[in-house]
Amino acid sequence: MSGGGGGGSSEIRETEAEKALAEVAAAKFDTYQKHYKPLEAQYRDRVDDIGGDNYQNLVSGMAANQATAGLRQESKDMYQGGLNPNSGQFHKKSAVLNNAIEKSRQAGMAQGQQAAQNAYLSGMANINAIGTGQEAAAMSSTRSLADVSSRNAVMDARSDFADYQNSQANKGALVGVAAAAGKGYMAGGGSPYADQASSQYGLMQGSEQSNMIGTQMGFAGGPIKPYQ
Amino acid sequence: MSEYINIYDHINANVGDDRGAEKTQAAVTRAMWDEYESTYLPYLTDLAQIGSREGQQEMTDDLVGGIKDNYNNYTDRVTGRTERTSQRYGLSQTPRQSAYTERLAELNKAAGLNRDTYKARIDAANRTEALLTGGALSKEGLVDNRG
Repeated sequence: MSGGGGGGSSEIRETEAEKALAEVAAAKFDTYQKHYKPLEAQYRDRVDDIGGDNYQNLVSGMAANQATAGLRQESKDMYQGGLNPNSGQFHKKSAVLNNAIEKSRQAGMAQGQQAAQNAYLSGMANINAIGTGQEAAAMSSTRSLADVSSRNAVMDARSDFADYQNSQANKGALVGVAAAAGKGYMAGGGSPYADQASSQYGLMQGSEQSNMIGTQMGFAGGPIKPYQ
Repeated sequence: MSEYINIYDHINANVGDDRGAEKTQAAVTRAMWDEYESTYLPYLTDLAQIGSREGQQEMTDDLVGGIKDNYNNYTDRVTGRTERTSQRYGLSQTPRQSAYTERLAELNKAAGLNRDTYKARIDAANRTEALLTGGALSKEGLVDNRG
């Protein structure tokens, strides 16, 4: 009597569970191919576009236009505020305000370009997250990038203009002390308004300029903080 | 590998065939890696290059260069706009007023350029940090995956 009952194949048969897992894996892959892959390709194309010059120009242009539009309204309000157009003060305010508008435009463009760069890197990081099966973070829309950039730019410019307005308000207190120095300033040819403005006005012009510039340079040398 | 892949074309088998489940699982695993390698790995390579010291420097230089270019016409734009404002009221700037406008524009141009490039550089430094260690720009950092 032979007890040899072990002569069968040593091959381990696939279990039903293994077959089911394989079926599901193949089905998942198929679903991914049909539904997700085209969307991922679309997203990658979008990120590639964001990395291009056209997108940067679009965002920076939108941000710049929005930034200047806000200040232009302030400009209209100022000119309609009863200021005599023939006065030196009118021209001076006009020059200062136009600087604020232009700085706002420049800051809007710069921040728009920066936001576009950040969006591009964020998109690249998202693609990498998708590629490794992670959840991708939502991206900001073009419009919201421009909105944020222009808001930042307008705030910067308004701050500059507010500094100017404050320096105007502080003038009165300094008049008596500074009159003599003001004459000296005008005599040195520093003011184009010497022929049409009071000595008080001529004096303050120099200090206002240094005030504006000083504010900005002060920012440049200020504490390092994350860009908002 | 961006077109549709029929996994069964790659294995010449079905799950119900002999060793079919094992072959199918293996084929899916390989196809997924091929997909990652051909489609996503290039983005990781690009991102790693951008995150490198040289890559960040290049990107920052591009941004700062663009900002400087933007400022090229600053003075002309301010002086032109100020002149137009005067003209709207039937006035013309005197030579001294024009000189003042131009001088003020030049000073503001220098200050604005300083401010904007400073911001750009600070932002670039923060961005590099975020890219490498995770943060606002990426769900996971390239280097530090503390999450």
